[in-house]
Amino acid sequence: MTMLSSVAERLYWTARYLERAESTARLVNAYTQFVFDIPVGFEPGWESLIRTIDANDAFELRYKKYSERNIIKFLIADNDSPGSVRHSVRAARENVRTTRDCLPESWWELVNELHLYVGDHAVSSVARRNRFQFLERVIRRMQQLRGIVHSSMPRDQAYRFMRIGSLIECADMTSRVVDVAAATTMQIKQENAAATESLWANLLRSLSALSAYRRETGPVTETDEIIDFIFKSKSFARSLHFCLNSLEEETEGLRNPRPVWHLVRKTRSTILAFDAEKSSLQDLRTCIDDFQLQLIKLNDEIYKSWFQR
Amino acid sequence: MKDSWKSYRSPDCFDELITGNGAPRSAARRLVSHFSKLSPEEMEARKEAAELAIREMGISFTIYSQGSNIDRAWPFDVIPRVIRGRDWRVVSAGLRQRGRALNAFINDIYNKQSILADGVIPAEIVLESGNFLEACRGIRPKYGVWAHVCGTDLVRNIDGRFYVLEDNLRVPSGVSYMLENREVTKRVLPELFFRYKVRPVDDYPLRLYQTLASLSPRERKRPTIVVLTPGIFNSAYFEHSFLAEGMGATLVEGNDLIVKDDVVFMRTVDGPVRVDVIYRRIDDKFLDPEVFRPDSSLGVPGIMRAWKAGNVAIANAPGSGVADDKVVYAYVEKMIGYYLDEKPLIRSVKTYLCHDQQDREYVLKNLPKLVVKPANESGGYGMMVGPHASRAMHRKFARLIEENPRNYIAQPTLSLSTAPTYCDGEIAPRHLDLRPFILQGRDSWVTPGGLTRVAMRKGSLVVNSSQGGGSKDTWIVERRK
Repeated sequence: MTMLSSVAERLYWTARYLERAESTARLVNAYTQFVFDIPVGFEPGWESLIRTIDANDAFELRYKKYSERNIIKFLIADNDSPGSVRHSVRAARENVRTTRDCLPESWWELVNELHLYVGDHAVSSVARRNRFQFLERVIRRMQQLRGIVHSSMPRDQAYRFMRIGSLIECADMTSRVVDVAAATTMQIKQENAAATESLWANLLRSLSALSAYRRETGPVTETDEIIDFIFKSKSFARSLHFCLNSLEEETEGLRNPRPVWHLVRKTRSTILAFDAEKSSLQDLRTCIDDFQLQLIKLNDEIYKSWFQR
Repeated sequence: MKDSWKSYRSPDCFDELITGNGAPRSAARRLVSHFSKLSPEEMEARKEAAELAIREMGISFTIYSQGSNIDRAWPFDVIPRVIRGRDWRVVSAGLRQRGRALNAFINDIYNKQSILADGVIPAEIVLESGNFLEACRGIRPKYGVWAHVCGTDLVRNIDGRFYVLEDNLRVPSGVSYMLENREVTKRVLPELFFRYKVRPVDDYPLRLYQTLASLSPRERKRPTIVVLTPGIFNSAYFEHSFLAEGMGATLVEGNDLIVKDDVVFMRTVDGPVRVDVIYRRIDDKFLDPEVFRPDSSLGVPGIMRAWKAGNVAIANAPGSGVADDKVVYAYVEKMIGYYLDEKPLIRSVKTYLCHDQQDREYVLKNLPKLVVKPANESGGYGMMVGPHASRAMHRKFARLIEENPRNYIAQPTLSLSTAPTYCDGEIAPRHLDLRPFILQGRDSWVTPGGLTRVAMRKGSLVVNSSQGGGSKDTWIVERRK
């Protein structure tokens, strides 16, 4: 059976929002862990977390001070801040509500449960004491949802459009996480070299990449190698390279995929051409900015190809 | 809960489970004994388990006045209503008979109009009704069937017999709650199912699919069926998606469909795909802005052309509402005689038509005894229950009737049956009705049971979910062999 363009669009966003909720949860978790490792007095600011999701304007509308509390509240508990865990879960739920018929039976109940759980606990989890547990639970539930999709959804168009949404969002968030690390490194570099190492290790952890990285390159965390790994690994599922390759595969069975392929290939060659060893952190950040612009174009092209009504 | 059950009485009406002297009816014996043995804590636990199941399953319905809050957990009573299989068979046959007569009537009205020519029903009642759609004249849908899904509201009077209160032939809703109620009951009272032979209800989506598929204009093994919904803010959206899912059909909104050369297509990721059958859940008047309300954005421009050209089936057919007018209702028993030459197997409630002078005089004299209803509104918003209304209300309705007699009908206040219902820690009688669903296409079929709606407030006779009603699972039980 074929799929309505409007439904494909909602599935795409469902997957994006859930991916976003999980990535944000991971990012907050990793950053919190990282801050624990920094000696008192050397803590970097939390502001880069806001900057990295391009949310400064939205943040400043609501808060005066870039304090940890405000930032964490903004990122996980605020109902209407774009990109907060709570908002993403709610938006995903709204989309699932109108696409239940093409999702696995248990999905609606689970997403509903997740929505209720986040609604009940997000605010009290701003405090460091509860934060870890809350974020872990949210991440677990996301993994459960993903597992169900993986094990019980037919590889039909519904699956494909969700996968496409996941991949775009995953690539986006991965690049943003690297951006946070780059920005923070620039901030702390002179003062504390050990902190830099801990930061990049936590970055890997936030991407669930620590053990994969160790197996591929060993236990020493070198910034250049980490960037290389996150950008170019062919096997690590959150690497930019992997996401782009998968995008190409997932769109293969769809009508008229060429315009999307063209963009995917162009983006991929920019990523593969980036030489971390020879580049400064500023170069890295410029490259990430470009990458995100490419993703926006890719999103537009996906709309043109399949969602336009 | 033994004492609560022992002292249970429901005076002055028929109770579904307990007889006048407090003994359980034969079909309810095991159920009553089961519930009697529960402690108050256990009973409360059952109730909470049901609430949790409902919340988790996402059962929700919306009522228009609640604005942006479109979720609302939906009141459910855990004690099932039990009806004997042999009692049900009579009702079921009566409903099919009624469905056949109503469809014959609609088909007649939009074609020959012989029932009007023969003077069985006054022509002006039908032709001046807002539900008669001129645009549908001369159309003959497949099998002569217009109302493919009919939700008929039944009540049980003090004599223990079922009466038809109204026929809903446009876009009747509630069937998903019937199905979900059974799911909830299975989760909450699994042990009770081992002690009864309860007729299953979960094949409804399949039956609906078969009915709709039989309407397809193209001979195909699997016709393309869509469920047309007004969208997420409609009170029955949950049901629309539920049924689409159950049938493996596509749930669409108006802007997912386009009409080209009198053929309906849906917009998909593979380009336009032709649609064979539309199960529409939006009102006639919003269906096609070319023909009806031009300001409607819910519908599909050109869909009526496609239907008239026979390129797509629409269920229920536009114009079906002409037979669920409350004035036309008064003539359904005559239709059964006229079209089928049969006697009604299930009775209508005596209905006084306010446009008839004699009836009107009777109504105006007896308002405190009667229920007055507008002739074509649904949802129970504009009605008056005489015995429960103030004298000011009686005066108000007397005025309304005199101003616009065609718009009102009146019926004797029935003593709606009750069933034991768990309220505030007690087992108490609450009034209820029953909405079975009748499917008609090439074949016809009636749900075993239907949706039982309960007036959760003490003494209330209003069971609509939009007015604080709840519901119960309905069991048609066969004798165990």
